[in-house]
Amino acid sequence: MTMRWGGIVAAALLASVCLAAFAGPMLAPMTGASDGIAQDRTIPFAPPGHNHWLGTDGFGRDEFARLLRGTRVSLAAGVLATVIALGCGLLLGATAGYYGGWRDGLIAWTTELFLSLPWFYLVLALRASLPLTLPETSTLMAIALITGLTAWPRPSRLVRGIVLSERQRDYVVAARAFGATGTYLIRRHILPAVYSVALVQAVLLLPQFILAEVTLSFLGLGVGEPTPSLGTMIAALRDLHVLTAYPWMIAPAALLVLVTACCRILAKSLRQF
Amino acid sequence: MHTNWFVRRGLHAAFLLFAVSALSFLMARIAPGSFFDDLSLNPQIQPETIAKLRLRYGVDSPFPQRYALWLASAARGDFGNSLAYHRPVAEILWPRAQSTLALTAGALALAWLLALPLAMLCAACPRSLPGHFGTAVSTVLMAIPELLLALGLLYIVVKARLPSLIGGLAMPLAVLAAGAFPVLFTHARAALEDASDTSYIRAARAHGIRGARLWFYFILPAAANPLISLFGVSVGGLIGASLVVETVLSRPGLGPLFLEAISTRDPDIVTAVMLLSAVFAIAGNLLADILHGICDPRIRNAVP
Repeated sequence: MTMRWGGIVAAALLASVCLAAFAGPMLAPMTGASDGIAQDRTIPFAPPGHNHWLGTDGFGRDEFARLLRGTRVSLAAGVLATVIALGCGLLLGATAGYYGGWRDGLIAWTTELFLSLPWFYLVLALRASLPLTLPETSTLMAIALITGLTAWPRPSRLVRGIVLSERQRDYVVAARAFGATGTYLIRRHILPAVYSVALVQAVLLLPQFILAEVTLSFLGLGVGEPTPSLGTMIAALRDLHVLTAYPWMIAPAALLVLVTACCRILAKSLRQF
Repeated sequence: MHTNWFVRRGLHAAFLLFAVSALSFLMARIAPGSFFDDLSLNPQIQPETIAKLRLRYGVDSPFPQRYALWLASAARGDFGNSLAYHRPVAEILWPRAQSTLALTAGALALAWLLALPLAMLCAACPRSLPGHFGTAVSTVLMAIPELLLALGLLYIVVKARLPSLIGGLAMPLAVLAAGAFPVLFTHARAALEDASDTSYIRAARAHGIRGARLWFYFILPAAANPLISLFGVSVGGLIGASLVVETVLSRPGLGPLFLEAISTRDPDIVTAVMLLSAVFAIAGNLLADILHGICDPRIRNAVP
């Protein structure tokens, strides 16, 4: 019972973070400095006040506005990557589990190759094969593609296992006896059994992808200045002085922890249904 | 029969490594731009020199030929040449690899030494104080990525005026162990709880076996399989996490070298680090496979 309440609270918090990230930058008063990009060098590291709710950063940019926009960028990258990873995972896992044979062999082998590498090294190696600096819009796409396309093996393996057991079910065998085709069977009879697992996987993958964006941007290989993202904002903390002297600069890190915690709690309570 | 199984696992690992080498070689070389682009901006370097260097390092020759050259170099133990350091890659890689290996092995041992006893304690008496403590700590740590753990520890160290710790082994060790702890703890605890819930453990209890004997002779061996798998997975996870932690806490390991090679476009180093990280991760899995084979005759004697 407590678990269910925890899940509801976590879902509500996540929903409000999403809402703030996607509607916030529009609602926030767009006066001068508060778009999060315009600089005001006269007020570097201003403490939180009623003009700047979360203070300002080293360039006098409003930290709250940057947080709203940055969360939007990071969430967008995370959601996009989750869709890519789960899409590939469902497609390949269902193919491997349902058809078996050489398809299963090939997919299982690729899965093992991907899983044998430390994931973040793989992400970085793929990132290394792209130009070091990318234009703003394609950076987001590139991060989502790189992280999404390297993370499908785990969901794919899970899906394959479920499909393997589902295709033995009586109603699937009966439908096949009536002449149903493979794609129809997968779509109508087998995949519905996978969706609940896929939902839990999505909730678990999302924080992983957000963290990947944060880490890439932190290392200077992701979203670049002046575009705010959770990663570029946390990268400001590399400076020990900023880390220790201006506590409001820790806000993006706190938000990252909040989102991760909410996703974990939500996944845990989703599993219990 | 036994040797067959072990040999098969070994060959499988070797084949995976070969595939990784080809893949990372390809990825490092399709990158646009090259190390020589920066050199050609330098007015003090003659274009002829750069042309000579390009020829010497075979940058413009066709891909299969370069891969064959690289394989030959790897067979000699050099793993190619670094463009930035003008030295064989192996020379640069060794000290870095040793540093990363020491760090991850230490963190692995520390995390397991913390997680396993605590998980046993929690599984034995879930409603006790340490049980609640372990669950609470792992829940909190689970939500904090290593990147933020490292920054948080830096914060604490600076605030507590302990600057001598910065740059040492203690901080990255603590961060990596703290990052690995919650996963190990949660899974180990689940495995132990599952094992202690089986009918044969209930039978053992009914025979009056209890305490340390029950845990070390009955429950732990019964939970060995998932624990060994967990060990194999945790090696790969720690290697991945060490990259970020080394960079944030400025340890001269593989991670910073990898990032440097990516931004200076030094493809042989990128390939070698990629390969080495795979070697570590695959070695972890291979070790787990071998332990599985030793502990579980069902796996050792399984028909492929």
